[in-house]
Amino acid sequence: MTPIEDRLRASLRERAGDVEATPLLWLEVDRRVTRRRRLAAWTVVAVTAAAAMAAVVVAPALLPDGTGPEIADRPAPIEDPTPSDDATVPPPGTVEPGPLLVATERLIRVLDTDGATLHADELPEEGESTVVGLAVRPGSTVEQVTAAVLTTAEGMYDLRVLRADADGLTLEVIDDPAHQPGQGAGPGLVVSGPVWAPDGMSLAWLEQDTTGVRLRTVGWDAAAGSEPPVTDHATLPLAGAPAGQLDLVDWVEVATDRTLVRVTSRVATDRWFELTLRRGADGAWSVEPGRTLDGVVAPPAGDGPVRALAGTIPAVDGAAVAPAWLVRVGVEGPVAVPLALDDPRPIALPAALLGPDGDLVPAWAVEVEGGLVVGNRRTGSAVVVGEDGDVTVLAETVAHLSPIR
Amino acid sequence: MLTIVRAAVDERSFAAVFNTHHRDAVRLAYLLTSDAAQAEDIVAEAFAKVYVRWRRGEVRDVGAYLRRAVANEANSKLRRRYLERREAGRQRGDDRGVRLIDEQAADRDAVWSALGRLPARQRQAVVLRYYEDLSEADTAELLGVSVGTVKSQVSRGLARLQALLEQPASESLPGGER
Repeated sequence: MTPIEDRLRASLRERAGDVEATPLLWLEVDRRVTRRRRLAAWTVVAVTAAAAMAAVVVAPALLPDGTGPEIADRPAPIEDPTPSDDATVPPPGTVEPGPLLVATERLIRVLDTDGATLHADELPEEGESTVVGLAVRPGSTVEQVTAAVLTTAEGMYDLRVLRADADGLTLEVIDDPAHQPGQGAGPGLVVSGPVWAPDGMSLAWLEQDTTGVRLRTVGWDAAAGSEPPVTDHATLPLAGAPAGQLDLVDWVEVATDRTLVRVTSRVATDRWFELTLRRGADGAWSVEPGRTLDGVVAPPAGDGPVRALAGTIPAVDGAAVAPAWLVRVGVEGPVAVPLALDDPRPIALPAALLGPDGDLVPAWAVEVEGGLVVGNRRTGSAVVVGEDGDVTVLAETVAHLSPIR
Repeated sequence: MLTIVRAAVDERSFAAVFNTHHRDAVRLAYLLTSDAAQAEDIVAEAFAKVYVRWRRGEVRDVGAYLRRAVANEANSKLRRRYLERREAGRQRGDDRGVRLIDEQAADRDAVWSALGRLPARQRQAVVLRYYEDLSEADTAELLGVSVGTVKSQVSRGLARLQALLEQPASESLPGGER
């Protein structure tokens, strides 16, 4: 034993001897254990409710007596690809999704924290409308939800405002031309989004057609969807943006006067894209002259194309905000990369997430407390990923998901 | 009814597990973070994670499992760069009072202060080796690294501590090594 080792031991023992747990620790442990039980309930209830709703939507013709279907007995077994050997497995992850707004192609539901369906609405079949994207307005609560929902039918896009409260769920189309996606668009229009500005006062979506790529922003003076709209709407052409197949991911705050819109590409091999937006004195959002979508090479290079990103690592000393999670498709399959760690180890995701083309497009990912929910919009398959590597496959189909917070 | 009874039994049994292990866990977490409040947060999270596998009967050695959970949890917090910087500020402010009662106490304070300036992995390695008295192999397994890495981290950590302790106070770098 060297002198420095002796001194170190003495110091550690003395310090440790000074420490006693507070009486509140057990209460905190108990609270978190209760949350774990609720998570398990969330998974089970969400699956069961989805199965019941799907049966109502899909199979009425199979019910000759007109009665409703029985509630599914039990969900499909939850796949846990993590080996259970104590010696090699990190402690289990815990993901707290919280209340959610979820949707398949036509069915939109508000889920409580425990996965129970509080509200549901279905787009009418005759219009063949489908949900393209949705985003819960920041500041919403499970008692009072406001969300933007982008839908499409026969090549036309509609922006709708969803409201859900004690009186039920409403889904209104916004008629004002300034708020209609695709106004003046060329042929081959594809719209991606919507996303809310960090303060919840503006909304954006991405329009792509044969004439180019542009970001549209809109806002309201009062509540979202109220009349009349304010004048802070803007169309921001993105010259030189990579052509086609862009997915608008989110809109995050970098500094008090600076925000960042983040975009992924379904064809890019190693990067995502960012666009800095600033709000002018008139309230309208603008891009610095000459700026367009900047490609950001994903670290480490060569680990497969970036298919989704989520969350942010808070800026330090003015550094750019980085995603907390990347979803990539490497040679060995899809992975989630927790970039918030200095040495992020990719977490293998089940191959069930991949589509028939062997790729994960279009992908979506949402950071929730303790982890990530990632899915394939085309197939509706989705998984919950814990920060320490636990992966749970959701047995229900989810094409769109936005936390209520 | 059976489910309710089983849940109650679970809770009582887990409370016993908590009573047996929580003090050691909090002390380890504190030595890894220098922050009493964060140590409790880490331990609460570790117990909650252990509970899930404990309830399924998958944990053979709760103490060892909990120790690993605490180390992982502390590491995941400290490895966030922004948190580390913030923690450095807290650590400098959290000296738990002036303890210049005698030279030995002053020395232990100096060692403790220097420990707070080690990189997270070096700090974990020396705490596990010199407080928990884990072997190099056990430390390596707990941290998920090779024995060689543990040897290297401990060696560098001790050398760094030695250097910091020999350094005049006026030469100390604010914020410590990052």
